Amino acid sequence: MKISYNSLKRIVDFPFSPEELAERLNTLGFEVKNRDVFEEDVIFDLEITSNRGDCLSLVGIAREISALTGKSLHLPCNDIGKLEEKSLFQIKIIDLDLCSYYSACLIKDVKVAPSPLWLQKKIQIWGGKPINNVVDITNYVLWEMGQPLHPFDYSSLSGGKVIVRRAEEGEILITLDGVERRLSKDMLVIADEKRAIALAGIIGGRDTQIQDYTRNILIESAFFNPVSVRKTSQKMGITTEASYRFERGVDAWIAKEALKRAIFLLQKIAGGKVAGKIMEKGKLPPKKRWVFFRPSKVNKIIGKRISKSRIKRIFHNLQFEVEVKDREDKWKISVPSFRKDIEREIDLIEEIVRFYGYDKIPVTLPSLGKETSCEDFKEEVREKIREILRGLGFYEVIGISLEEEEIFKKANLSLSESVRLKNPVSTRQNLLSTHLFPHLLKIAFGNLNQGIEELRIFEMGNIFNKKKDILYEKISLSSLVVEKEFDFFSLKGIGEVLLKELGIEGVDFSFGEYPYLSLNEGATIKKNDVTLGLLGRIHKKVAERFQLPPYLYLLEFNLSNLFSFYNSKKRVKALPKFPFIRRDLSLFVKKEILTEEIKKLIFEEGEELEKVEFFDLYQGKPIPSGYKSLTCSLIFRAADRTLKDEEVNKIQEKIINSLKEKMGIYLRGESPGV
Amino acid sequence: MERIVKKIRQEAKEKIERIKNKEELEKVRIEFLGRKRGKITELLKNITTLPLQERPFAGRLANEIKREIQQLLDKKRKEISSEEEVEERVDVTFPGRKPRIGKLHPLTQTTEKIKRIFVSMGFRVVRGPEIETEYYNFEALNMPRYHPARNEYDSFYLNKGYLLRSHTSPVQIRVMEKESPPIRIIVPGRVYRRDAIDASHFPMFHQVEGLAVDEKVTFSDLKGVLSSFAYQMFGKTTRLRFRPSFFPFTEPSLDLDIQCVICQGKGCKTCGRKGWLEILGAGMVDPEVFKKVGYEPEKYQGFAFGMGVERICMLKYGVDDIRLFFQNDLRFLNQF
Repeated sequence: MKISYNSLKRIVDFPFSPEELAERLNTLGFEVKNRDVFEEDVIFDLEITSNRGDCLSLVGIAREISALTGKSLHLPCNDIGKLEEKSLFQIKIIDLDLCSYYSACLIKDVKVAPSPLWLQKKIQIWGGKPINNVVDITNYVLWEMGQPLHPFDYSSLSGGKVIVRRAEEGEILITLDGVERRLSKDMLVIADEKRAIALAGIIGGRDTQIQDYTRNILIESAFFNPVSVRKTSQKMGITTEASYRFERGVDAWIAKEALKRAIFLLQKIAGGKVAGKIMEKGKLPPKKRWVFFRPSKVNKIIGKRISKSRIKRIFHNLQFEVEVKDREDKWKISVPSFRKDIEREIDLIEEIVRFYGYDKIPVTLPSLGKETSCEDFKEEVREKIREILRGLGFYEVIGISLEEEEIFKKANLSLSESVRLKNPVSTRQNLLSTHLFPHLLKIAFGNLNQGIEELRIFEMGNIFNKKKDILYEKISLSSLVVEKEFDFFSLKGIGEVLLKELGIEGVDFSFGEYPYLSLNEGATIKKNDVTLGLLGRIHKKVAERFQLPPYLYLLEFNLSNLFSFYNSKKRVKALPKFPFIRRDLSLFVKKEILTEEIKKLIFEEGEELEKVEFFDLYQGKPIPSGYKSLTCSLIFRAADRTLKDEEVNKIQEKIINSLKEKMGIYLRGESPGV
Repeated sequence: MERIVKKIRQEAKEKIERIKNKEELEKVRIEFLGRKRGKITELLKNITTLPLQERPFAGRLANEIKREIQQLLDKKRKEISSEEEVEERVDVTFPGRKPRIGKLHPLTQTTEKIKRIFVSMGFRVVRGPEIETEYYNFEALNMPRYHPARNEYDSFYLNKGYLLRSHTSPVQIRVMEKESPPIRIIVPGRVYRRDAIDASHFPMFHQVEGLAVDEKVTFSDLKGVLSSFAYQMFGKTTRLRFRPSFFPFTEPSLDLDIQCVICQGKGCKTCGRKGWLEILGAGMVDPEVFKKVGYEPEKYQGFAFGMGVERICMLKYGVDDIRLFFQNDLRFLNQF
């Protein structure tokens, strides 16, 4: 909200330069967003928090300055003298729950014309557009006193009656902005005998607006229910200066004062004559309310002793009355009706600190107490994974979890389990991600476009899906490798290293089919039948659609499942005391036999066998078709003695025989008849 | 035979020990392993003159010593050549072969730094769901349905009243519902708001929330914890400003500003000529929030704070466009 330095100075006396005033406003909680010099004046643009509807006016801000300096306010003149006791029109409030107070006044023989220059300038300072003297005056009073007013062209009202009622379902009102609006019955309108003429507290109707030829006007000043105004304004999608203030709570007691101020200005500027008295209907709320307060609580909450006399002075300057009860630690404070934000002791404490000064509160640290920070192991896992992948050359990326349908299709992902936003900003972001890898593919594309040839990236983030209308949220880890000299086993190695570092052992890799992975190079990672993740080469079609090269590998984990298998309780084993003997075997194996099966058999047969490692997997010429060749190294070691060659020879023979008999596996050199 | 072998071994060892360069090494090699007159070669030849039953044993001995001398010579060769390498200077300005190393995203680095600072002050890290209910996102935080403060939290809605959380504060409620004081937590995480994308807005961003509740946690403790954080994050000489503010779930509330890191308070484009930059919002937990989670507001008190990770990161590293974080251009990521 914009405030003029000069205007403020006319209402309240203060000894501050514009710079100092800005500083004071900041320390009172009205952040100065901007400061502009306008002719001889300085204009401050203030951020008013949503609890301080009372400060959305010049008078409101002046009241705060007065509370700071202790100097009294000089409110704008609204002396309109004595009015005739006539009533030329009627007010009828039907829905008192939505409008508890309504006042209005009829002014005749107004000359509608452009405002005088000084008023036009004020309107400009405030950020408005001058229209005509009548409209400008109502706007000026809103800015000055915080009370929204509305002028009607009295001659276009039928029946000499103003009715405040809920709209009828489907009732039509063409508003000032020219939009035809269909109303519903929870909305409050101002009506004459025939139709709605304004959307209460939000916007007027076009039919009754002030025209150049308007002579008689009816000015409304009322109090509308904040929630009702907000509901209607949201439903209709209109926010106005009026609705903004009503939502935040206008002081009903100021309605009549503001009306008088407007009449005063109209008489002076637009030459109008008041016809009859100010008509009022409804009830005003109590002028003040009582809140209990314990001075001792200030110290308890704030951590700083503030003297009782200081507290009393702060309350006094805020126009709060203090009643000290018999026991000194229980005070009764009266809060004026314009301070709607103060209902409880804690709200009073806030006022004390605000005026005492946030900067004067000491800086302390809370004692540790019983709560000790014990790091969550899940954070440890996250950190560990990030560090391992970083060490392996991966860049961490962060993508947005909102996607468009197109990406799902490109990535061969089904839309059936996806979660849709009800109110997206754009259709390019209307679905929640069910997988992280499509982002990674997009990011890879972006980087490859910048001339980078190879990359490793990963992301840790939440993914969402829907099954039978139930929403699920999972934490996922997705990593992507784009590298020429890379293959399935390089990828698997990364997965194995990661799992080992997390203390997760006994993991099974099995063939896995995924629509976005190559049929021949896709696998599922499981432990105890719980799926931990997947890995493989991205399907050629998917890679093509994302305009990426075919050497594209994906490794994904369900992080929640990694958490549950994470093992940080490592115990150190004693190092072996006796030497090992290593034997390498080169094998010819039928293609369909899995390495894992060979390993299992070797372990079944091999006594004193510590470790079996496979390498040099090869298929193709000169290996006959239907076969593959692989090499394994066997490490033998006994726990209690040095093994002898002859002993190992025997075991090795047993293994070889068994491989031959049970799996038809031959040593290279003694080929199976080929 | 054994005696001869022993002698040769001794002799060879001593000679190899004394070798200083390649020429000497070659000489010694010929002396022992030379194909014509080498001592070992001779020895092997002599085996044929031995009685038949002694031959295998002698053969093995001879082969053993041959292997041994060969090994000693190889070892010496390596020593010599490595000494000689030093004498030829390498061009040290030639670029090194860099092993690959990755990078953590700047937002992660910033979050981790924030985490470390608060963990050192006794805070524990907790996370919460990104799909939330109206109750946790608003109502329990003292923001009933038509509260005007909801303007600032324009949320994405899903079916059945679920929404994407528009701040990390719902996790405060979730933790307090489950645990009783003392509580001291921080909550990092993603949040979502219906903001149109521009240089300072993105529909998804990251926050770190904090909460401390006990019987005697005060406003001055809040100032202390936040000051300590700001100094550790932005440097000891940073000037701080605590300004009154408003959040429905704290009372009294504050905003913390640091003096503009670009212009040192003189006023520039980054700080909007204000000279100060807002880095976080905070306050004493509102008694209404305690009532919602079943805490006795007369017994417990505490503070809460929340900050935007993007904003902190942008200020700290001079990033002027929030979108850079989500483009994930490696040339950008590489600079952190």
